[in-house]
Amino acid sequence: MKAFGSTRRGLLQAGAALTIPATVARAQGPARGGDPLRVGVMTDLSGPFAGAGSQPLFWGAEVAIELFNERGGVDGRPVQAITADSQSKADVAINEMERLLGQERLEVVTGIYSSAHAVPLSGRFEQARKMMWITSAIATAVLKDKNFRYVFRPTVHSDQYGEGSISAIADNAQAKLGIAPDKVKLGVIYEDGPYGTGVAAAIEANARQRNMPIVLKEAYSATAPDLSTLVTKLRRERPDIVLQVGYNPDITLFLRQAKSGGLRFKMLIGHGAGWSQIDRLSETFGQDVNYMCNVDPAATQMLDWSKLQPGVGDLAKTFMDRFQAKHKLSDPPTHASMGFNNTWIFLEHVLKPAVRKTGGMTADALREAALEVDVPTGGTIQGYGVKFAPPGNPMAGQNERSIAVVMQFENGKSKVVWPAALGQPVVMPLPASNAYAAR
Amino acid sequence: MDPFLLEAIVNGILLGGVFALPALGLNLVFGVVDVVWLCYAELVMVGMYAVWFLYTQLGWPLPLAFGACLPVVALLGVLLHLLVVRPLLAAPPINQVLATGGVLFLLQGAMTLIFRTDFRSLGVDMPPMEVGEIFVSGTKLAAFCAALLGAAVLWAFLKFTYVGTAIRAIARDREVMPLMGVDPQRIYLIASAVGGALAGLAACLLVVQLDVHPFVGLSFGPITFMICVMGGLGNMLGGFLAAFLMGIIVSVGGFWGTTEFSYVVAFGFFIVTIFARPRGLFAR
Amino acid sequence: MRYVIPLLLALACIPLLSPPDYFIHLGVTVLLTAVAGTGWAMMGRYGLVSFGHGAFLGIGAYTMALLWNMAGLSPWIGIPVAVGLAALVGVMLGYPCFRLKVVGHYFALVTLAAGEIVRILITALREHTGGSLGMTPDRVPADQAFLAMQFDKAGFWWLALLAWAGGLLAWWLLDRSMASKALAAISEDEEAAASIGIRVTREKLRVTVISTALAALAGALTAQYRMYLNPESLAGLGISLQIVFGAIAGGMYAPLGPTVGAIITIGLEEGLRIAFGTEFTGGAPLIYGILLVLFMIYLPRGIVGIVERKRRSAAAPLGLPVAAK
Repeated sequence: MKAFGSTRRGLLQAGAALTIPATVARAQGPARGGDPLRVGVMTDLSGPFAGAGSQPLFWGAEVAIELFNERGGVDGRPVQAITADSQSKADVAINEMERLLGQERLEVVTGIYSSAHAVPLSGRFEQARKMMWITSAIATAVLKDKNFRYVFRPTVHSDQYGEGSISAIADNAQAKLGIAPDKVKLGVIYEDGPYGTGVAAAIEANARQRNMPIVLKEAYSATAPDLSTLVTKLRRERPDIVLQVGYNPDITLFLRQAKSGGLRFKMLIGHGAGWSQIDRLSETFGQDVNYMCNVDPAATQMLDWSKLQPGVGDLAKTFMDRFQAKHKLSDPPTHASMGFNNTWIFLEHVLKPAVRKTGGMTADALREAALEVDVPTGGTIQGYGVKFAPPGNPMAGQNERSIAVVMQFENGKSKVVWPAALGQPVVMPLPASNAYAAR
Repeated sequence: MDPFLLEAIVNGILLGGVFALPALGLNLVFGVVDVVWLCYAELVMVGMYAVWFLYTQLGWPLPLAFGACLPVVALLGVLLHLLVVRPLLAAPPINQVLATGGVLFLLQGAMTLIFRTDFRSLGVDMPPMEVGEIFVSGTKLAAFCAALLGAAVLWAFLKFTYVGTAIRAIARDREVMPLMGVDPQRIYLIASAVGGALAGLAACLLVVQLDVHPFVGLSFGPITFMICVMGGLGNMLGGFLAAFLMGIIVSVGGFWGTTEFSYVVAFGFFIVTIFARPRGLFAR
Repeated sequence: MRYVIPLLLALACIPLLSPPDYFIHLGVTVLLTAVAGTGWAMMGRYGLVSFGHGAFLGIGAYTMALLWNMAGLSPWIGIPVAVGLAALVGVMLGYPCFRLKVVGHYFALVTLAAGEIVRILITALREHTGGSLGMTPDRVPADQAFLAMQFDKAGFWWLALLAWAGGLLAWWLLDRSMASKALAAISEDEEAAASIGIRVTREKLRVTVISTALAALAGALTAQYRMYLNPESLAGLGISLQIVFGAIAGGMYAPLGPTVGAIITIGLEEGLRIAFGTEFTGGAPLIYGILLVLFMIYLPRGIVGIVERKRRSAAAPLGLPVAAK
């Protein structure tokens, strides 16, 4: 935790009537002279989003900043993280943003787990001409047609999730299922938060494009105490493939009730969030989730590091070693890789050149540097490259080289199965040994 | 009859079994102490954590973990009464409700501090049962039976013990208490402990179906309150029956409409019910 | 009352001293929360405890924003329309409640259900409202900002101050009127009040209209200030309870009570979160919960209630309304 600490300097300066004494200021990493470079990190560390991936996202960012400082920061100037917890609430995220921009006077804030926070925050960052670097919030609508200049998203956006699952089905339907792609019946169920809604819309759009019939598309609240009626309806509509977008609690409930409700299908494809936490799923369902699929950016351990650009594999290994030493997870969730990777991209490819070029770190200098980033595919630990859509583009600020892959669970590990070029052949339909396999 | 509709109705009844226990506990406490525990769903949440912790972390056998969960939550109910409710017995109801609302935040915060925000689950499952064309979840059926059993035990306790009789008398007429020569404080404590134990039992039934996390109370808290009010606050039988009614409405509403709108239908039905019967559906 | 005008003038001057943005932001948030809390307390102090005021914030905010985004109707017109609609919904819910004598916990739970219905509807009607991802009012170029009510922080400070003063004025006018005596009598004993010729339903509806209108105003201004609406923060149980907590902690029987409550609750939330930082997550709600319990036990009439009681300890007012039952 060396480089971390939310400084309360600004707050105290302004004379806020805090009755609790500010905790002792912590060391600022292995400083080697020069003012620290202050970077905001805002994630949800409490509330429902924390367990849904925001906590590992934060841990990943933490490792990135520590490692960056150990390697000398920017010519001896260490990075100091100013951290904030948005508590899974949009109004708290807005308050924290005002504090980070107003009191801490930050030029850049990274993180942002939820799209419901990214939407209001992005507008304000743009207005304040400060940089917002989204490492997780995926809804396409955050950037689409907004023409932002100060908001950047190195990670994937929700349209890519729909593209991933639908393409994977279309590519394999004839060969593996013996059904023409436009005859594969799809059932889409999703939690009604910003995440599920965004991805489900993308799934529907992609399925329409390919004329694939959606026999049921229905939202449910992630806090619903019962999903058995949804299971009954799915059973009535008999989809070949079920596509789910959800968090852990509703995935657990759905899979349990689907099993006991006699719902069987040829394949189930999850879409990130809860589905990316394979450790949890295996813990709860054991072999029952074997061969189910998930769409997400690849976690770094799923990739063949030797195929990445030179040096990137070593970075991935260092990250994995450190992360596992600290947090003891056998298969760290994708969000850990996202937190590290997207923060690292910022530090190495944006902050460093900007500081070297201008000597400081204004939002404008960072923005210039971000627009010049040109990392080829395979140049980051998650396998994708980085090139941001320039102003004027409908998706301005989006990393055009981000990739979402389809992966398949096999005995507690995830393996990439789409795009075909990157991975191995998919196992489809679910083998008869699986409890959910249609007979 | 459409077998799928039949399945939805059966599922609704089973779901009602899940709501019935917390509704029973809340109504018992309200009937006796005349205070609404706004944090009741959070007591259930603590009970779920207790089972999860004993079973997965300490490796206790599941029945033992269930057995331990009841006294733990009962104790919590007693503490809640002694520390929060008792000083407020003479206060306006809104203060009582909001104080227990403060406990809601307290418990969510405490569980976040202790167990972090990860979603936890037991990883146990029971085989489903296939009856004709409909499927019935073994877990839910077991939960349903346990709820009925819990209700029966509570009924016997209220009917055949001296304390139970005193509790029933008080629930019906508060003024009678001093006349009977019963120490009200003692009755309040017993009712709070039983109310807590019912929350503990509800926790045992829910923990095999839902993931545990600090905010799991949101899943069934609001609807439980509505069920209590619908059945008539303090009216234990009314609340118990209302739970099944609500379960069927949610389930069949979701079957004919969508899952989201089923709650609009259920809550709307609740409002209309109260307009029709302002003291609850089963008011005497 | 004679301190009010200088106080308002002093508050209006604050942006001229160019205070830090964060504090102006908290100030605007406090004022708007205070408007909602004042509205809530209008009903609450007469025993009409609503757990669903979030619904009216949501109706206010979404009506205004939808009128703007879909019909291009400026918030200057949209807000009055939204406030009117919210008051109408309040009457539609209140009338049967009052006619059929739904009171106490039953009333609280009916309003809670209504609040949840509004939240779910906003989420489920995502084609129009943007669902849980929320919606943003369309921005206009700087030269049309006034017509579109898109100000900077100082602008909203003044607007919020105006709304807040309006809420206090409504409170003051109500207190002067015969209606307040009638309402106090009703909350004391409804049957007795009716028997001496007080039109119970009508009096209750009057105060419901004022209360829901203020809540809708607060909701619409909050949305316009943030330039963002979502169902979690503008409707449903969470925000409804937050309003109630503020009003009760500050004291719902005094005009400034809800305002003091808003300062305390928002100050506590911000202070605790920042003090606990990112290392002891969960600590903030823990302490917040404990403080709420202590507040309810030791300051049952709220902070301002204590002050008020000392001032008029001799002559007790016409019976202190008890909230429910």
